[in-house]
Amino acid sequence: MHKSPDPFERDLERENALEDSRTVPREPELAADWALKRELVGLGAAELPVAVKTRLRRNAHMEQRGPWLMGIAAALVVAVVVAAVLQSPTVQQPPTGSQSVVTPTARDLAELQFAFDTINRTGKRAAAKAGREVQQSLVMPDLGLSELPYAGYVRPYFERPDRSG
Amino acid sequence: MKRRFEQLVDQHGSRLYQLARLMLGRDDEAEDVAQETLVKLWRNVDSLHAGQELPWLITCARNACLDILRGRTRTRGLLQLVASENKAQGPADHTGPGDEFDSGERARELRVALAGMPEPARSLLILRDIQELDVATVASTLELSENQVKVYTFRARRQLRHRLEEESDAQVA
Repeated sequence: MHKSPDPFERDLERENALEDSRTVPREPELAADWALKRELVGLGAAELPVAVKTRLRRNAHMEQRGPWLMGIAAALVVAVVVAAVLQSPTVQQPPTGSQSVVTPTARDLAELQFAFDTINRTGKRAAAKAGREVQQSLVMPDLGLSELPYAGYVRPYFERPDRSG
Repeated sequence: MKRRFEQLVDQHGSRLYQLARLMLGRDDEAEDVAQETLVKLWRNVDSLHAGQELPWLITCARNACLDILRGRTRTRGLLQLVASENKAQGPADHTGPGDEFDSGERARELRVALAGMPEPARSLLILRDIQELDVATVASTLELSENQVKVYTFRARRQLRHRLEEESDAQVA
């Protein structure tokens, strides 16, 4: 008794027959399949549009430049950071326990005292001189002192050249 | 890298565009799919071994097309509603898949019938019968065995033929 072939095997055989056949198969159904197969070849063939090619070329060009731009930007950032670090003021380290503490001598203290006195004296003299010179150019504002109860006592104080007391 | 990329674009660009046109039936969407696929190629060209490119490209393009088709299916309910409303107002200005590149009534019929085929039958017919890709490449692309590719293509072709015959009979009647 002849056993009917498995549908998968049967269709596989038919497809192989269609592929190998250069002429129209005798079986009508297969002949129709063969004709359709030939009709489909090259259906809707088209060239990739030029606009797509142009966009692709532009896109590829941009992406190729991207890493370079990123590299330049990164180098710039590094340069700025390095410059900022090099220009920052050096921090004075506090003396540690292992360092010896310098004790000033009497001579050092005397020199320090002399320096302070000089600064004090010179400073006072400079302030008095500046005050005198500025006062000539100043117009005293009307503070409305006359309306105060004891204006006669207060006014001389404000009008005195040396108000240090 | 640039040279290899340009070679691959020249070699396979049109094939991808044709695949997308036949699957989607629209030139603008097909252009987008081809471009998107080739941009992906540019980004991955270094990691692709020689000979792997075509299955990889077809897989990318086909997946992009299927995404678009899935999106269309989601909005189909709304479109059908609008179409049924227009139908009541008069004959619709129907533009089916393939109308934008019609080059003959029979070709248009084939494209419309093909666009209406389910997956993977449609892809098999495009890749095997229309683009005449070898069985091994199609098998690798669709993750099927070579015998499966042959049998499923045979069945898809027969299904397409029956659809065309039914359409023709309906027009005669």
